[in-house]
Amino acid sequence: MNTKIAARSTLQKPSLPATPVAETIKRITTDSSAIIAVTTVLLFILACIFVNEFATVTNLRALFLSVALVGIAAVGLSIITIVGRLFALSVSAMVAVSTIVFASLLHTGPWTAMAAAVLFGALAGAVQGFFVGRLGTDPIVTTIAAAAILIGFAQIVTGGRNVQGAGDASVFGLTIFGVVPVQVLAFFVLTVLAWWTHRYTVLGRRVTLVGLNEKAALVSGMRAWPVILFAFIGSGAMAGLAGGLLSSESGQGNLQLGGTFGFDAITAVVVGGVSVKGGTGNPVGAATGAVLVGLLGNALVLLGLSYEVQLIFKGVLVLLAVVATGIASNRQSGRRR
Amino acid sequence: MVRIYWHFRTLLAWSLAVLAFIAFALTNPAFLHAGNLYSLLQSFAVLALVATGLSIVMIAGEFDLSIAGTIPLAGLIAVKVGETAGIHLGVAAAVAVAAAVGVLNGWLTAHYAVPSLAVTVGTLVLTIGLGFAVAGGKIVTLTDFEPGLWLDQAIAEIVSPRALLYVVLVVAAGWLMAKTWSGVKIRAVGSDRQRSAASGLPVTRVLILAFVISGLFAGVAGALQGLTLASGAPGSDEATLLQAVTAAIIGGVALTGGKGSIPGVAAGAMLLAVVGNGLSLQGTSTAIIQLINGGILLLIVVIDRPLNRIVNKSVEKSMSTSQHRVPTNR
Repeated sequence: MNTKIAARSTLQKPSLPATPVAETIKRITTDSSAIIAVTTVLLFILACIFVNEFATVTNLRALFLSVALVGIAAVGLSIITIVGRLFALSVSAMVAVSTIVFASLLHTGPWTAMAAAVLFGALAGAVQGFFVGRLGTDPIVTTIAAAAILIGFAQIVTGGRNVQGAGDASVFGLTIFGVVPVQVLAFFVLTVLAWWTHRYTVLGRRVTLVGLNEKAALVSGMRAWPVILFAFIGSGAMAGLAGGLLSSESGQGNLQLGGTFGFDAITAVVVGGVSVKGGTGNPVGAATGAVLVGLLGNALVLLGLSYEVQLIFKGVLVLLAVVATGIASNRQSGRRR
Repeated sequence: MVRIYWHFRTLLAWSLAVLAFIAFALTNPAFLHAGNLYSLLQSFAVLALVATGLSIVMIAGEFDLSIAGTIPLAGLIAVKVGETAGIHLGVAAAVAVAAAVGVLNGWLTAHYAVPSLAVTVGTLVLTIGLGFAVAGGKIVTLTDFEPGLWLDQAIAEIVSPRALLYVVLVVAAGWLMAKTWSGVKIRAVGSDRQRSAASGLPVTRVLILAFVISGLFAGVAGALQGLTLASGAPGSDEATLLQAVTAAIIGGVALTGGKGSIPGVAAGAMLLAVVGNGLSLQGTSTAIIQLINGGILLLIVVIDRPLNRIVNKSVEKSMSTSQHRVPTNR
């Protein structure tokens, strides 16, 4: 069974023998994650050649630093999308509240504060996962409501004020070997971990199966709700981590931090070729999507374009990606238009 | 039986709204003052309008996140164009752009068979970006206050022309959904898209219609809000989106599509408006009101499923008993 899912989720091999080149081309044009990866690499090369000041170590480090936190949130969010529960619209709220948790516990030490932020995220995710999985509520509405409740609570607790952390969070601002910042390292490690879990563990295969066909999962004796619960916990923990790392940059926490994370993460997931219908795509796609969006933003800034043009660009990019994945999945299921 | 249930949902929502109204009227004498009723109706009208647009999309089985971007964008365009080219042209331009966003949403969703949620995330980001582009990094203001004052003047002390216009639009939408073929088609497409397509319904056109209505209503709400505030700021209006979803779901609109009625949505909007108005009159902070809105929404989605299951069971039972009756009647 596992091998079948693996075959379906990654590459569909045609039953008739075809030439390797044709097969590869077909595979790439029908696999949306592959399209994204190729596009990202092409854009990267183009930017290196045509955009001045792009291919410098400083700029590349800045690029990855700007991408890392959104990337972590996006990789987390992609688990929810893969398990077939669309998006969590509470990512921004969870990131914002995690910055407050981190900042207000910073006096106990950076590591405990980080653990608390991650734990908070996992807990908030678990509650939403319980609602969506066990009680079968709609994920969009549940997470919209959860976001309102989280922000409302945090507003009451903090009085809407900025929380200044009393402690030293410079551990998370280190640059390893003078090249790789801790945040970027965390992004890479988590992406690889999520990819490995998704690809090679039973849990990951279950996530894909529930996303692809929940009824089939149930018939084969697997209940969906624990898997959905896991997806929300994982996603929440990642959002908490992103919030904690964001807060460690300034040692502060407030509700305005991470306001763009929610839609940026969704953008990354959608651009990364993770199908909103569930089951297809993988966390690496979401990470690539985050890098692609960050890359475009970075290149546009270096080309001297303004914030609003970047936003419009991002919107168009999402629409193009949605249409591309739509066409790809329609072609995979043999539908013609 | 099913019809009775959805009537029951509408009735339930209305009776909750009336109960909340009576409760606030009894506990706080200031609640029934004309000035307060005026502001209550103002917030009700806006919410009912946006929620009605969204619920038509939801009845068609889709979702429209982009209204959170359309509302501020329409306000900005109305103010910016209105300042240079006249108010009427400004409003027309704002509404036209909002409708165009609706067409884009509907066409992409239907033609490429992709989830509208993903499409409308894209158009949401797009409209926010367009908003910033229109504003050009500044807060846009209108020097002519007259249209805004005219729109918000009190008629009979409690309603304004703006609120009346919104209510008329909501009633028109209710008529469209209840009495016309378009309403039937929207509902059919929302209940079962494949069968609707197989039966020859123009699915793409129906979806575009639903999204255009949603975009139009958000655009009208945003444009007139821009005029009455005489200014506009770019960004996204997620608070209104949250309230509109809550109102639609309280009113019995099912997320799976095909179900729900406009009077029910209006009742949901009324309940939220009454609760928000009453609480803020007592000095409750907006944070707590938002918390309560979120709580109501969560409660509704949790009880929605068991409630539906009970109803479906009783429907099945009544159907099976009627099947038993048929042979005996012969």
